[in-house]
Amino acid sequence: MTGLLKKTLVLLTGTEDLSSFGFKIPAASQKSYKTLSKRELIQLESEIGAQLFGPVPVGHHRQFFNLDRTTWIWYEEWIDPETKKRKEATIRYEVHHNGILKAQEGARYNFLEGQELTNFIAAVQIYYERVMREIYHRDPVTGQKHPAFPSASAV
Amino acid sequence: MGFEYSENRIGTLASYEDVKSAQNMREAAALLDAQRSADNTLNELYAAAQPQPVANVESYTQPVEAAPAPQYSAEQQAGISDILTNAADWLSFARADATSRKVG
Repeated sequence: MTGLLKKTLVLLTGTEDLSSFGFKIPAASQKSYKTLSKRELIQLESEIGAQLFGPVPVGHHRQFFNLDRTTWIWYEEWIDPETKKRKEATIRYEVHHNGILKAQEGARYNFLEGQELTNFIAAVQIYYERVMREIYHRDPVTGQKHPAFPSASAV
Repeated sequence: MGFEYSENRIGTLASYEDVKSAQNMREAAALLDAQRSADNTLNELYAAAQPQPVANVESYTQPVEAAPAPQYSAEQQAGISDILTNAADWLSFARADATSRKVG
């Protein structure tokens, strides 16, 4: 409920205690997940994903998210300090049965290996655990809705 | 639900075990910080993600077979892929449930 609507109700009722009239004003952050589309949920996930690789440089916008069961996306855009032009980079990580293929612009491909592969797995695991807990309120190990968190569908 | 990690299939990936054993976000974040400060490889991953000066906008047309072969055994790679696709499956399930849509 917006501040304007609250003020209107206060004017109409003559009191700021709206709860006595049965009015419940939800916080803005309590927007129901049921009103969010899949795309909007992925956007929420990407806000967590963007935090997994260290601080985002000033002027950069980063997204890291799971697109589907075999695709992870790293997107980054920034303003070039010299040319003042916007630049962007998209890296697609494809999960194949024989490895994780990193596909970049310019037809550059390589399978992740060694430490980079280990880091990618760690990043995905942390993404999964944080997203399941913080957005979907589920136990990341069992997949069940976690009793310690409010149900996403009940928010 | 039947969701299970396949940790026994990738026993060589110690960091995965560490992440899996992390009981909360703080531990996981500390693990990530420790790993980053230890070898700075996540920053290298970030650096590798930056576009090269000669990069063009050609799309992803190079065949998968042209990429260099990974170092892990076929069994290890299969285990890694299982873990990642299982996680993605659960994320998809959670999204569908959160929006009250049917899964699959």
